[in-house]
Amino acid sequence: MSKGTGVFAAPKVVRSHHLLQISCAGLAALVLSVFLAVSVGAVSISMETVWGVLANKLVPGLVEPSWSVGRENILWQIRLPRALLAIMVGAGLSIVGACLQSVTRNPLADPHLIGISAGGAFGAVLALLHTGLFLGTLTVPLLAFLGALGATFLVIGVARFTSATSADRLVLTGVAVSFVLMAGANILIFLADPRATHSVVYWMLGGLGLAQWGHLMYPLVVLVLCGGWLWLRAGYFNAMTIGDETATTLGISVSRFRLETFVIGALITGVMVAFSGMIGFVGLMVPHIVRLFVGGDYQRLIPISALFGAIFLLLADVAARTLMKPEDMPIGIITGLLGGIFFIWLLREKRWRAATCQSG
Amino acid sequence: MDDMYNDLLNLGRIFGVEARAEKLVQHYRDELAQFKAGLKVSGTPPRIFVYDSGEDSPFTAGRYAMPTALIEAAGGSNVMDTFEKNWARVNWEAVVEENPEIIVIVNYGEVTAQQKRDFMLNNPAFADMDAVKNDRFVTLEYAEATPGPRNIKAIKKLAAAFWEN
Repeated sequence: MSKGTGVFAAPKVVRSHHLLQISCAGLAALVLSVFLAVSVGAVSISMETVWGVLANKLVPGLVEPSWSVGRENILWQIRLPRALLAIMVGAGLSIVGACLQSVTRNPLADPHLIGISAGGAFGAVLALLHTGLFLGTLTVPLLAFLGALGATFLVIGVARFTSATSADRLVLTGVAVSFVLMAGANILIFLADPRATHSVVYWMLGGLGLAQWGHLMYPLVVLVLCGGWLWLRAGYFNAMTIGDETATTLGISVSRFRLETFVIGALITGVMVAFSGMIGFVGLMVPHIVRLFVGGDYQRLIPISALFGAIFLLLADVAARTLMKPEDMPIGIITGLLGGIFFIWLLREKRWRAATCQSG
Repeated sequence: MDDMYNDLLNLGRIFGVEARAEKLVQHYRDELAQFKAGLKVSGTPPRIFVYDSGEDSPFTAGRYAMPTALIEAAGGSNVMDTFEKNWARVNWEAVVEENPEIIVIVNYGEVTAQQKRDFMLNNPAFADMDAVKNDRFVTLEYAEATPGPRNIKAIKKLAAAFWEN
């Protein structure tokens, strides 16, 4: 049975034991990456200390503390939550990218394309430049999330209003709303105190420094619930890649499913953007890379994209924290650079060319 | 401090009032020298962190930024003064590692100094930082922290906070 056309065509049959190998390798890489992320950073901390602190957290009092409280805080309160946030954001954005690419049948679909991130940016700018942190540390993420939700309703409203629920037109609606909201965000920047503008620039470029244990539950809950919802519908996504008519004959209510995916994807994107700003290219690139290894079957594509996206963002964050230490580079720079280079390489890749030639 | 003096001297040249500018600059120099002579400093200079803005990563003053000069004039030491830059975003790790005793907040824009202070007090990663444990925060206005005539006043404000005992 064919598994989609065009770029979604699986170029090879992936046997289940290959898949098992890939999954195990991926999980091992994830654990190693987390360990790397915790061990490395602006401050050099010896491996002994890292092991000691982690051991003490598992079994309190196991190791005699030979390190300062500051270092323990760095490892446990700064680096580890940051690594976990990187995993969640990387996984979330990748899953949403993969699913959007299916329902819009557009290989360039990306969580930031459809207007949600622009809504998030609007909310964040409002918080940073106009209202201040009136709700404490969670003000910016909260307003960013509300902005993202607002953008979602706006896109759905406009799509309904212009009867644009087909694949291409939904993308265009998203792009249009995105432009309007970004213009709104830019007006807010223009009207604000010019001395504070830099704080917005850094937010927009993306960063994982807001990670605190108390904040991690929000992205986690949304990721598990919404990601699970999407994974359970992997069969639908496979059908959608073939075409609207074929999907309808298979019993899928195409317009409704498209909008549902959009909303669920928007929820994930909204919460991720709320905590980490606009980290580009992860949602776009990771599903394509993973397709090269496991094929286009969404039953596999969704979890492996999540895994790979998590590892990718973890490593990008390590680079962002260490390349210019003690400066903290915005992670969007790293992902943008790597993503752009990868994209160029992908354009040259024979399989991509062959695959896109097949589409019809 | 020379940045500020040069600015004033240049303004004097532009408007043709060089004598007044020279007098003003000399007055500031004398005031500062007098202040420094009378300042009772003891022990090692207190470790100071300049917090301008930023929650995911702080925007702070490096060696070549004005607050560093002000802090040193007041007898303190900026924890980021080995960082050869003007202003930049650093990682919170570096701040926690340096364990500042006093935090200088730069106040401007919609995010108030109180909100910045609350942010630092409520983040568990900073709970063991000396400045947070002892709640030692000083606020400088934007105009005081950047080169300008208010710098001398700023130095006195800082010194009062650094050496309050």
